[in-house]
Amino acid sequence: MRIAERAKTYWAFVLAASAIPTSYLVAMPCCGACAGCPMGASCFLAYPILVTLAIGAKALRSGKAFLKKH
Amino acid sequence: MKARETITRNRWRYLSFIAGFFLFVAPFALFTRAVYLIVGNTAEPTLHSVCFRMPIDWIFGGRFYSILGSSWFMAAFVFGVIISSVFIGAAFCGWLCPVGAVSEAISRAVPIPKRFRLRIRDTKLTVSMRYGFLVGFIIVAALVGYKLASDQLGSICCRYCASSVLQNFASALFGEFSAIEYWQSGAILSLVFWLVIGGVFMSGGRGWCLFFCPLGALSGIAHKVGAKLGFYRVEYEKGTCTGCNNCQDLCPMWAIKEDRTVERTLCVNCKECVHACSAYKFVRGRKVADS
Repeated sequence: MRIAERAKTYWAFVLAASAIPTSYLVAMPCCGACAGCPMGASCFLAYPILVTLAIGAKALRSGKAFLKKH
Repeated sequence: MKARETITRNRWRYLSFIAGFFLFVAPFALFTRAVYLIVGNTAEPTLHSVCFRMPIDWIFGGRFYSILGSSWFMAAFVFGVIISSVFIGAAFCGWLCPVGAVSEAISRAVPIPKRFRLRIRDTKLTVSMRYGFLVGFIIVAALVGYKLASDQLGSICCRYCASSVLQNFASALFGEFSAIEYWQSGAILSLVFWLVIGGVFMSGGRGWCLFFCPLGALSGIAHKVGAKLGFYRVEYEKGTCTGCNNCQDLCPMWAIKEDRTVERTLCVNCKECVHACSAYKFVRGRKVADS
């Protein structure tokens, strides 16, 4: 149980730590042309937000039930 | 009645938040304006003048010349906040920061049932995510700073910054309508996470502070170090605890652990737990066992 809990926190840490660099890699080919893009840098923020919500939802009982269902 | 109680209980903190708005946000920015006046800086002070992100970005990206150059005040402010957190906890976040204040105020003002609000009760998980995002931020700062990747990040950083969104809101509100031009989907997404997801739909309304503020994360580390050294902190005493869990429900930073001790890296010394329960009190010195 303890190992599972630790794995959960390490997994959350790794996922969160990789979120911003990953979204940076996604945004990099555009070379900062965000002002001219209809996405306007939202691509940069979308992934970290999704990670936050996914980990948050998994931590909740209702979220767990929802994720099990789908 | 409940709203009135909340306002009465937190009156000094809410007054401090209002002061924080006038001290740091343009067109007022009284603190920054005063410093600029003293040092003879003719620039127009805004919330950007005390950017919470740039000096941390510079440090980890090896761009020390930026700190020593014209942006010295920005760097001095950020390091001042971090160093003060060693002695008085993350009091800037809990008492002055206008960004956290707005989202917390909206969270209090919007009456949504508790079951619709996200709250991670496992503080270890919250801490993992908070410092995970900080590490990600540092990795990108290093990649850009040491030219290991494209240096275009600097041009898009303000598009995912809640402080920027607040500043533009305030500028537009007080007559500078050109600030509205700033709105694009990145800023809108920041706004949505800061005020709607992080504000309304996260318990306590500090979702942005918890996960995306590098200054808050570093202040949390400083507070943990300070608490170990015996500086000002909130301490939990099991003896008077009735197990009502009010402390956990009220803490805007989700800093109360399952055993009701305080997670230092999350605590902003807001005093919510102190008001809610006599088991919590502020202490100094190293004699009391560290929670």
